[in-house]
Amino acid sequence: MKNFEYLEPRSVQEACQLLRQHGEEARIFAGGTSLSIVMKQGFFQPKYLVNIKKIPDLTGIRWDPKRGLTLGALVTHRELETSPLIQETFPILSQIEEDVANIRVRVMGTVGGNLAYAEPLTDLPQILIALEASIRVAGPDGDRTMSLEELFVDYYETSLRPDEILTEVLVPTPPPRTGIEYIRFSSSSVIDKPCLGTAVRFTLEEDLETVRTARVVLGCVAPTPLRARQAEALLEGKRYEVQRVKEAAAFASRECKPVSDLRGSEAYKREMVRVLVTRAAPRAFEKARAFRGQV
Amino acid sequence: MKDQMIGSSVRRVDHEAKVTGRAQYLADMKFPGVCCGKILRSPIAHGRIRGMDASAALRVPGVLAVVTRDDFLNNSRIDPYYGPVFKDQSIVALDKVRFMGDPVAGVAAVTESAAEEALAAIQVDYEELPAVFDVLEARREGAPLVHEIIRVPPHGFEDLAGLRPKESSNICTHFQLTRGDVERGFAESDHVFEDVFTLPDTQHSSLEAHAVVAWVEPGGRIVVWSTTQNPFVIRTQLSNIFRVPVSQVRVLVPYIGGGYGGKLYPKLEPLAVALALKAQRPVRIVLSREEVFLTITKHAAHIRIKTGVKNDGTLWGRECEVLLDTGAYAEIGPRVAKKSGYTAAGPYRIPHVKINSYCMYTHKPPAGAFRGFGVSQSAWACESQMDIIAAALKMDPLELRLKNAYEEGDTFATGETLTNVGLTDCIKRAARAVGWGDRRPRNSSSPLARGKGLACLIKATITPSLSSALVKMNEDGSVNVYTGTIEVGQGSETVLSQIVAEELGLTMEQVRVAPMDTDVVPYDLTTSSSRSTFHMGKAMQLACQDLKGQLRELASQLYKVPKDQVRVEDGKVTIPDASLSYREILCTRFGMSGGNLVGQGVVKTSMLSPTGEKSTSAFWFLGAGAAEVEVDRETGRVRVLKYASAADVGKAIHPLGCRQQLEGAAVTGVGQTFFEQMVFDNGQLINPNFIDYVLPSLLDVPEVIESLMVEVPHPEGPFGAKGIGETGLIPVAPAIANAIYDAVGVRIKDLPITPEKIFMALQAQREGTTLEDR
Amino acid sequence: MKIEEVFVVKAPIQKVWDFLWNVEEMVQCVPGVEGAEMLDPDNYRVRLKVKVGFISASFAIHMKVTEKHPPRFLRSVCTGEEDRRLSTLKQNNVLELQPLADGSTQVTLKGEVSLFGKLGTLGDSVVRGKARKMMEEFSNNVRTKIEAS
Repeated sequence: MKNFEYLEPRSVQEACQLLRQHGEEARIFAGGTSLSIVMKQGFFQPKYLVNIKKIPDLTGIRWDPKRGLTLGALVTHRELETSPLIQETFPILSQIEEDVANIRVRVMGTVGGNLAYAEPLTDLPQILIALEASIRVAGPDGDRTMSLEELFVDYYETSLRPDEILTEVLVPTPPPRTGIEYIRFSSSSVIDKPCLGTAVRFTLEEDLETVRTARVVLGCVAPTPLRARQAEALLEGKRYEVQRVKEAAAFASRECKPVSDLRGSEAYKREMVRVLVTRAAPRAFEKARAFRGQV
Repeated sequence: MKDQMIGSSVRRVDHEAKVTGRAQYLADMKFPGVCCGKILRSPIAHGRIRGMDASAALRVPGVLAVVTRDDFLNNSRIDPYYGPVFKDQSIVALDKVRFMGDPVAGVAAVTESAAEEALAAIQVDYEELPAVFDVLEARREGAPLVHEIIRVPPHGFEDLAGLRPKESSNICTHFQLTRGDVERGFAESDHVFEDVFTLPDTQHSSLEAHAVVAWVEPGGRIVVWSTTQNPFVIRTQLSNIFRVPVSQVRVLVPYIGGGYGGKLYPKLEPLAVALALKAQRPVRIVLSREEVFLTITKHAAHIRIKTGVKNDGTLWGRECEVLLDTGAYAEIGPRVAKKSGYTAAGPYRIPHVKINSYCMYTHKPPAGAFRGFGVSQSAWACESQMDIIAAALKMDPLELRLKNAYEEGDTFATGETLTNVGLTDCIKRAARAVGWGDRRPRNSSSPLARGKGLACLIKATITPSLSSALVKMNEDGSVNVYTGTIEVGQGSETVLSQIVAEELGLTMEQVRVAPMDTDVVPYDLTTSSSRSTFHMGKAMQLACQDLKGQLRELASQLYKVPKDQVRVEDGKVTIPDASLSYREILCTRFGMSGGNLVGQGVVKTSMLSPTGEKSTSAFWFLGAGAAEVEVDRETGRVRVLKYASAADVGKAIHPLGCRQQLEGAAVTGVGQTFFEQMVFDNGQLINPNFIDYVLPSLLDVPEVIESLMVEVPHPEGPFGAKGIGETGLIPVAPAIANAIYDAVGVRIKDLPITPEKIFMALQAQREGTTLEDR
Repeated sequence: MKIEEVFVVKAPIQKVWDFLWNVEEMVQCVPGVEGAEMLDPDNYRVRLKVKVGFISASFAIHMKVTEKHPPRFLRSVCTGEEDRRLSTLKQNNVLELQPLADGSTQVTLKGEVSLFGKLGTLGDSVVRGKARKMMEEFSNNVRTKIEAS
């Protein structure tokens, strides 16, 4: 690993200024679980690391029945996994975190880092997009908010400008009769990066039979998390039926764009998308019917 | 009366140092004045070096020495060629590079970054040549040759005498074994089966990477600290390379963080010494994980196996062709191929056998010893095919194995008689442990299907070999023991101490294993081949007995009693009317509180048994594994619910240690079965890291691992003990593959067994085709 | 690593061939190409910059046309060295043109890419994904440029 200068701003504004000053030679450092690997491998040799861990405003999990859930960028995977507040309001997040990487990574790795790094083989983005999360971004000229979906541009590339910092993730309070299921699928060790990640979310009409909103979000099958919009359109506004789920799964399988790699061929991944959507949908549907204010 | 020592799982003698992190490993040890060594590696798979310019590297501030081929051409003081079987390796590339990662130059510098900068400043001009990346390609007529000339050393290993490279080919060695007439065997069979199985290159994945520290004392004496499993071989090879007597080479070995065969034979030592000679400073080289991937691998294999069977399941003929990919250098590949060949027909009585095993050169990183040593390759083929046969004959795979398995006194494929064979016991106990024969009703609505599978093995240990031990008794009766066995984590220090404590009636605290230093400890061939308990354990026992003989002699002289009335037992010397401590004997002998008695023990095994019969192995490893799995038919994912591992250990000296060996082997086996594979793209290794080369995690381990020790005492082992290190690994992959077949009816013949392979095979099954048709 | 891309250009085969055979122009359709220079009609020097997130690599590429049958077939070999000498790349390309009944042309592009050295270990999925994306963009650019001319 090459030497670098370590900077420790005390505020978001100061951090943004440092990023503006050093441009491409600087990189934000939080948990370091991904960055330290590429630095050790020699793929990335920043001259400056801007450690944002000392910035107090970036921590904490807050919940407000109206606004929903706010996660500071520095909230760790382990906090999501163990927070009683999360377990009460968004148990899906703590459940999935149990399977993310390993405990050492979960203790160090942060939510903000996970999203802003835009690693293609990861889990959180699919769930958060299915829950219609948005993010708050701070820059030298102030804050802006965008939907999480808009963050992802390409492998390891986001729409953040070089001097911007992701500061918060906002997950809206789920509408009544909402259920979500996520299946993390590994084609080798259970702690390997996922081969596929499939989130299915339904919000039902009052009849508990008709799908008002459907979200089918696929991970690891494209450079960015991918909404299977044809599958969603097929399910929305109609009665939930097993046959229709099968058709939607077939749509999802066609509309994703996996590449053949060490974790499976393109053909296999398409087949698995079909299987996983078919498996996740009925569970999401049952959860939506049994909705008690949490997902 | 003290507690029984043998058969008791005493605390490991190294437990505290390792648990607290105080144990010293080479990368962390302090050496005054040590500088950093780094290696420049070939960026191409095969090419001739047209020219090289290292002058810019020498100008990098902090650089102390650069070693290139120019240091060895026309240098009569150094023979740059080495290798355990053939001298086909060189300190750095001399004429050609033969794989991506082949060392081309070495740099020593005061800092790591200076060394790296210097590497980048070395200019090499290559003429790229065509390359071959698998054994079938390498065997083709007109394939690019990895080596044009191969140097054969004058004093090779006795067991490999006669094996020679085949000129103008990529065949490094070819081993043949014939018994009976295999064509007749097939003609007399009712059924003949022929299948091809493959295994990929994999990694040892030791926690600790290879490391070395070398310096040359004024006067020319070479001192090397190394993470080696066989320091005496390193000493011999360095003495040959640098043309000094063996006494002028000193090799020291600290604790090693895992070996599994990956730290045998010269690795970094020759280059480190060459750098140290030039830099006139101690040089340390510690490999990165990526470099470990390029340093040593497990042989990939392509195995064709053809078997003739009678209607009643009697195996009647078997022909095997084993092609092992040894990469760019022979390393110990010729022996791996030979051992793989010996046992390719499996642990079964078969009258007609024909085996051809080839060690093949390719332009890939060199392959060497790996836990299981060729047998984990051949057993994958043989044991998978046993279940193909059983299915075709509608026979129970357990019954098929028991019908043919070696029993006491059977004749092995080589013609020698097998003794101390606990094989059928292992098979039965492993099968019983997974509830063989109990069938769960299948739930047709669930995608999950369960199945059970078995596999068994026979393996030889390296023969002939030599182990010597010294036990030095101090004035208080405590002892220091001197052994060339390396503590690689297997627990040898503990087991050897137990043997000494038992034999001399001492407590564990009174026994101390001395640090490994070739200047001090007597010769031992190697810490590998699961041989240390049997060979070094026995040498220790003999050394203790030698010591006890000396005590008896002394007591007889000092106390004027006939020797036959002196007994040495339970830590005491008993003469008529008195019981004397060791301390009293030594004090009386030397007239002061001081002095030593030294006992020596030597175990030398031979290629002839004590009865004069041919002996391939001083003892045999026998074992079996049984797996119960659950397969998700929709995704192809497999969960191993239970794995039972049974091994004939002779006598379990440290039962917990034995269990850990079997459990550890099962976990390694899970990785080899499902995940592990080095992936190459035109010679470029694309996954030289543990992100994309996946190892099993604790969550992938079978929910239950049952370790079963079968004890058929071996008359020549210490207290009847045999080795156990490799036995447990060999049957894992075929047992699991057989269980998968039992569950869902698909046969995977190529490791690793990925969910995708199962899924695709199931899809083909549904479409009524086989994978081979597609 | 093999990649294949098939696309249809609404233009007659000769027009498509003429565009593609103007190699200096054609390689500009490859995303990341920063310059191309003809050494002779069969040999070209191309500069390519590839960026994957914060990792970027610039290659000096030599492209050699090894076989051509106008207006249907073009085979070329590219070898490139990365500026910091950490990696090299090799690519074999085959371009096949086929006239379709409606007067348009089907283009089949087959590439076999190998990345050697440091970048070869970056990660299979990213390298493949990136290569495929570049191929797609190349096809789009070729189609757009020909159809617009």
